[in-house]
Amino acid sequence: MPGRQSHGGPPAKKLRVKNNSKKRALDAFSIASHTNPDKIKIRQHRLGVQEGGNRPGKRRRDEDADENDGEEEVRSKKIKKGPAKGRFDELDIDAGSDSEGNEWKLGQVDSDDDSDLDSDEAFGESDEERFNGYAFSGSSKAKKKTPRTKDMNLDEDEDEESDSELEDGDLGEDAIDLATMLDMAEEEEREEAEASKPKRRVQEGSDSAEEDGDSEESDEESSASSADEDDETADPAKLAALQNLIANLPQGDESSRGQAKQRSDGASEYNTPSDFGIRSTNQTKLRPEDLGLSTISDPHIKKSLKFLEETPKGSSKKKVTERLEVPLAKRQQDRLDRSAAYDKSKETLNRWTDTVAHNRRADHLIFPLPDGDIASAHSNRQLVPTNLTKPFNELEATIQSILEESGLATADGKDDEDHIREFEELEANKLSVGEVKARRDQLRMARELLFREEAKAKRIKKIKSKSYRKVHRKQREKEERQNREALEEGGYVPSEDELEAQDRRRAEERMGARHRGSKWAKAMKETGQSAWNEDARSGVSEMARRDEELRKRIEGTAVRKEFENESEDSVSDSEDDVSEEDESAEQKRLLRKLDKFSDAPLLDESLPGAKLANMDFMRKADANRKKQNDAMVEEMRRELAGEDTPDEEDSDGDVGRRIFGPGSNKPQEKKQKSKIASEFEEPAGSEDDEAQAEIKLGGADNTRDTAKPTRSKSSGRPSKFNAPSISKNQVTSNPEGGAWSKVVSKSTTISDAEAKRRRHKKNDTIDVEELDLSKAALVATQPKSRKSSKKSITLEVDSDSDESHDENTVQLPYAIKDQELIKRAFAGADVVGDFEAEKKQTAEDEDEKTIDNTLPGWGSWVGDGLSKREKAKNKGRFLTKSEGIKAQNRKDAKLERVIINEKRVKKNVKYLASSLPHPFETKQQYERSLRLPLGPEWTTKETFQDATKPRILLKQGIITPMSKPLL
Amino acid sequence: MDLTATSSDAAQLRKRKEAEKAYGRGRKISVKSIRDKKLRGNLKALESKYQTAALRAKDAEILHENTEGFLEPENELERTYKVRQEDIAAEVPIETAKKRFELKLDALGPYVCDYTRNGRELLLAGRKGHVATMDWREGKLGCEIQLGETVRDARWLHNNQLFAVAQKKYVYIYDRAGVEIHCLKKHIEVTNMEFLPYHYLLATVGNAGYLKYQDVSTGQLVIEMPTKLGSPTSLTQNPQNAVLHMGHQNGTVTLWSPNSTTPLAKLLAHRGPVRALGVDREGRYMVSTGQDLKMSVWDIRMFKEVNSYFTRQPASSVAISDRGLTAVGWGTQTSIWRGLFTKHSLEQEKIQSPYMAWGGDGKRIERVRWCPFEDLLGVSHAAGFSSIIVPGAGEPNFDASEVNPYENTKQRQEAEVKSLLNKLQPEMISLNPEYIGNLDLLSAEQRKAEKDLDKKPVDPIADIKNRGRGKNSSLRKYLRKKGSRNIIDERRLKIEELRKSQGEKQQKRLKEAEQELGPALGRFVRKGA
Repeated sequence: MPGRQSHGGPPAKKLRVKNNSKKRALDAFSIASHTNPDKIKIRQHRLGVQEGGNRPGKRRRDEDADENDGEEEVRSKKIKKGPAKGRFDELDIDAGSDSEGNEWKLGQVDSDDDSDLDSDEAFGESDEERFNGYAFSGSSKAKKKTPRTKDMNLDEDEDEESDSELEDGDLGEDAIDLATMLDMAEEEEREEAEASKPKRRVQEGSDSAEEDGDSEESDEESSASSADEDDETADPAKLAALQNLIANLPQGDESSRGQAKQRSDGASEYNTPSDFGIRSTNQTKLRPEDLGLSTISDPHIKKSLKFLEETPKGSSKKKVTERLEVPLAKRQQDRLDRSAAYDKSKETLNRWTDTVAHNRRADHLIFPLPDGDIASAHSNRQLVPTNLTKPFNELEATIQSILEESGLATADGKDDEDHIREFEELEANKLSVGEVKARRDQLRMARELLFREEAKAKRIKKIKSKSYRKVHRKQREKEERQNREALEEGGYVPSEDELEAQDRRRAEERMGARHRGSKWAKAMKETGQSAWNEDARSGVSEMARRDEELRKRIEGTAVRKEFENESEDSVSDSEDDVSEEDESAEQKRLLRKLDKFSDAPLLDESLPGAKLANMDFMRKADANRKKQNDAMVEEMRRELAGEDTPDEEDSDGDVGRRIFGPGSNKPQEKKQKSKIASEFEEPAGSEDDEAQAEIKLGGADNTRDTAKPTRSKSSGRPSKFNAPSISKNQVTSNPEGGAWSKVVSKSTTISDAEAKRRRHKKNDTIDVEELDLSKAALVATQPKSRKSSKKSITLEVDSDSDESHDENTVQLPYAIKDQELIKRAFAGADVVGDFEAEKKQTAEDEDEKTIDNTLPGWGSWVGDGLSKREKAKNKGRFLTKSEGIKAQNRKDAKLERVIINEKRVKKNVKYLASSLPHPFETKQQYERSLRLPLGPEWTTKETFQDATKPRILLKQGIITPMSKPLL
Repeated sequence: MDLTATSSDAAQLRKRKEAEKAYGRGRKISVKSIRDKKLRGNLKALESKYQTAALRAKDAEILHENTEGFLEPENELERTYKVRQEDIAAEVPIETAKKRFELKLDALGPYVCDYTRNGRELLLAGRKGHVATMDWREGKLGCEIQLGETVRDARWLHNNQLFAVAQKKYVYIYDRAGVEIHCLKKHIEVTNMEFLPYHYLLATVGNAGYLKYQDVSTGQLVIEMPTKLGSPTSLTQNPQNAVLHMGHQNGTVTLWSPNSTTPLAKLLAHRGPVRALGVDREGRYMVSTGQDLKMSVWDIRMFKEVNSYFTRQPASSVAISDRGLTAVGWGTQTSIWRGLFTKHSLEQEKIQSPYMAWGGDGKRIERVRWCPFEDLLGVSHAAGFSSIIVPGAGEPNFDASEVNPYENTKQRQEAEVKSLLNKLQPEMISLNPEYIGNLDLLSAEQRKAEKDLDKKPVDPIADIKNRGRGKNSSLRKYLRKKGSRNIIDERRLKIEELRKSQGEKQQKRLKEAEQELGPALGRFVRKGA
């Protein structure tokens, strides 16, 4: 029978696998049942459900006991899933009556189909109500093999309405031959796959939601179909017609069956209507009447049938115009389904990624993991009062009372202000409405007035602040100037105070005006306004001029007329860089100008009127003029050059600050020194003078504030207090005696950078100097002398050591004699020299070397009679270079009196990492990661425990999988 | 509100800075430039870990119950070095005053002294052979022996159980009861000894100028090397990196480790023989005194002379306390200097006068040693030993897990075991002790050149093979512990092979036994046997 055969299509794989074991069991069971008539009944019952259409019993059940039917179906299903023996027996008895002549089937029917059919068809209409929304797996697929067109419904992508349309259309006028259909299907698949993809993507989301509904629908339909079959068997006339119909399509049947088997899981599954070739030969429409459905009594079935009938009529017009798309091939459909399912599951899983990442990165994990639900529940269960006014326990109560007593806290959490407010409120309660209003208005008014006053004051202040003050100041100055002029006319000489005031003004002028460091100047420099803005440019030049002037003034030279000329020059010379106002720069510029003058040719031949100019007398006159000019230029140049040094010579009379620097103070110092020397000539000379001289030197050397050396209070110091300070001379710098021959006296212990940093600290004490321990006591008795002695230390660094040495011998024969002795004692060995030699030797030894590996005489004569060229040939032919450390790259290259071994300590290599471990990118990163030792000796206990805590801690309890993402 | 917030921020910042200064672990590396996200995260976490570690260490300072305290002059005229011991003894608590004592031992020549690492016991050794140990706090004599021959040096080993004495010819090791335990015959005519407590190495150098390292835990002579600079004049160790500093006749100081036969560095510190050397606890500064009446302070990490001072007489001994006080014994006097070096300042101030002074009463100073964890200076001289109080000298807070001055017998034993377990290898000694684990920057060619081609290839399973056959055979143990790891390397493959072959062998043996015994008795053949 075709109907039965159609069921022979393979069901969903999953199901089959599941059923295979059962099949075996059931096979055995069937064999057993064959021998034992009692047990056949089980099979029959089950087969009855499956075969549905052939048996009257089925109909009976449909008719009278729908609920009963459903129940039984469920039971049968249960039996299939896990055979419960007790139920078996029950069912046996139940189904025993309607099983006849079915035994032959047991051997024939593929048990695969058997089980499939069971599960699907068992799911009747009434089940719909029970298993609301629940679809048994594989049920939909099994139905595809039923001969009816409803199978098309199973395509999940199609709407319920279109289902029936499609069926009818395909079955009716537009029915196509199977072969063409297949071809078409292939083509369309391609087209549709492309065309419908976007659409499908959109639908996919809803598809899964619809799935349930679809399956429900299909179930409904299948139940209807089963009812059809029942009816069909009932009517013999209709049956005959059906048989006739079936007889008309024999070839199609054969082929289709074969094809159906072939493409059991392929594209043909969707083409089931044509598979059976129902309409391939004759165009008659298969209608419910044909299938003997006229006597439908079941209202449910009727309803569904009505629905079936209606739809073709309603949409027949559409059918003509637009053809429904052929559903996708199963493989493609599956692929789409899979991708949809994948997306869905991905989305679900993505919710976990944060949690997983968090846990992965966590330093420590404690299992069982804390349950978020419980935690949150706990935290939410109790509402914590917003303000805890009442103390919780006795201790808090006592503390509160103590606080209240001591006035640190107020009772009931209210402070004084609260009390006041309360009081006021009480007062206000007593007042009438009018009074309150009046009072409020009054208050408002007062506030308004206050505010206005404030604003006004602010404005006035602002006005005052700039222009107001400026105007006033100018006025004041004017008055003052007038006053002064009047006084000067009267022959008044300014007093010291006034002079000071003038000085002050000058300083202020310098501060306030446009000078280099000012905001204005910076802004000029930044914006570069001076390049195009005339005003700005003039301002800049003004600034430069003023700067110059001020400097001159500081130096004490009178501001000469010449200066103004210069400044004018500089104004006109707008191309000059404004920022460099150094004197040297200025000078250079002037010199350049002079050069230009001197270099310029006297006459330019090319000019018009050159002929006249070339005449003798003109030339003479020009030459004369040039000579004069040259002389002037020369003079100016001399003047400019002379400005460098000789200024100081006549600076004695100058007022103002002195310049201190390496170049400027030399002559002065010389003078001072000569003075000292003269003093030293009388060894027992007055100590006062000597001390003074010392201080003078100090003043000249490093301090600006001691411009007047006589002001220091060092006079009248007994000589012995000088002793320690003098003892700190530079013995080492004295080049005599063997051991001392190569001592370097300059300060070497500080690196250059450091020295720079410290320069302002006038720290030269690092220079090797001796300190006599035993003399410390003497220093102690006069604390102030130490300060001065410090100064003298710094001074002696610069001053000639010979002199200070002389001084020492005079002042401190005791300590120096010792040192003399030492020198003599160690005069024999030149340790420093030896050391230097050794250092040099080591550097040479460890330096890079080229070794000549040439073997003279190898293969040729090297004895007498060789030419020079041949001799040279024997040298340097095979050179090998041995690696080493260049002298300048040595660690001790810049260190004095140190030799550092550059050899690699091979035994230490054992503890070195041979290559950079994986995650690290640089050496620094890796070595940094090793920096903190783990041991408890080096860190606090907390750090140690943190560092050694295992990553995963297991606590007692059940480790359940996480119920939901934590984050 | 805002103000307080900023001020608290500032305080936080200051605190962090201080912590960084005191307990910091070097400069941070910039994390931002790292492209690898994971690495960046890890390193960031690491940096924060370091920072919290430093902060915690700083916070833990409140647990230091004792603070150092120096003598402070009340006015400018007062001098701390004028303070006599009697004045101090009158002011300090009785218990502290009791720590000042004097031992009159004028018969057996100048004494050398040494304190144990925890400062509990004192070792005295007279030139003429008198050796004694004592618990100086309780005044209890540990042992007293008359050796009857010249004693040049004596030194405690890792604890108070053993001490080494350099005698006329050899070095001997005695236990606390004075029983001779070892005679180190390889150390001949030793003049100076040093003991490296973390490496258990006894380093000696004798008149011949051979420096020898003896491992006292294993008894092996690690290395001996000629200094080639004649008889040494002084020897001390750098407590930070266990490098030995040796002073020589020609005024040089050489730095030695047992890993190289040439000195790691050589400094010319003096013009005459170097009389004494001292290195501070942190290994930053070295103070040396020479016959040329100089005392020079060196920055031993930069190899630069920081300062140089003049001494009235050649100083015979130098010692630097935990808190940076430097005791210098010269002639019959001892001066104690404070602030000869300060580690945090860029420039080192030149000190004008000593912090304290002692002596001058005719006892020629032989050696000065600071008593650990006490404000005491032990001075051994020609007429015995004097313990003097120097306020602010000792480390006021001790770490009992490191050295415990109040340990009992049990604790001492445990500490001994622990320190033996933590013993450092002699190969770890280097000028920079933090080099361990650092990257070797040797180029590939150099490495290739250095490779020993004659070396036997290392057998990865040598220690696993053939060691036992029972249930706990080494192979099984290995497989049990590490077999489940999913790392397949050569070693692993070999082990699998080995295991297979062992199994086959066993099966074969079993079968043979079965056949031998016949079908009836074959079933009783034991698998394991």
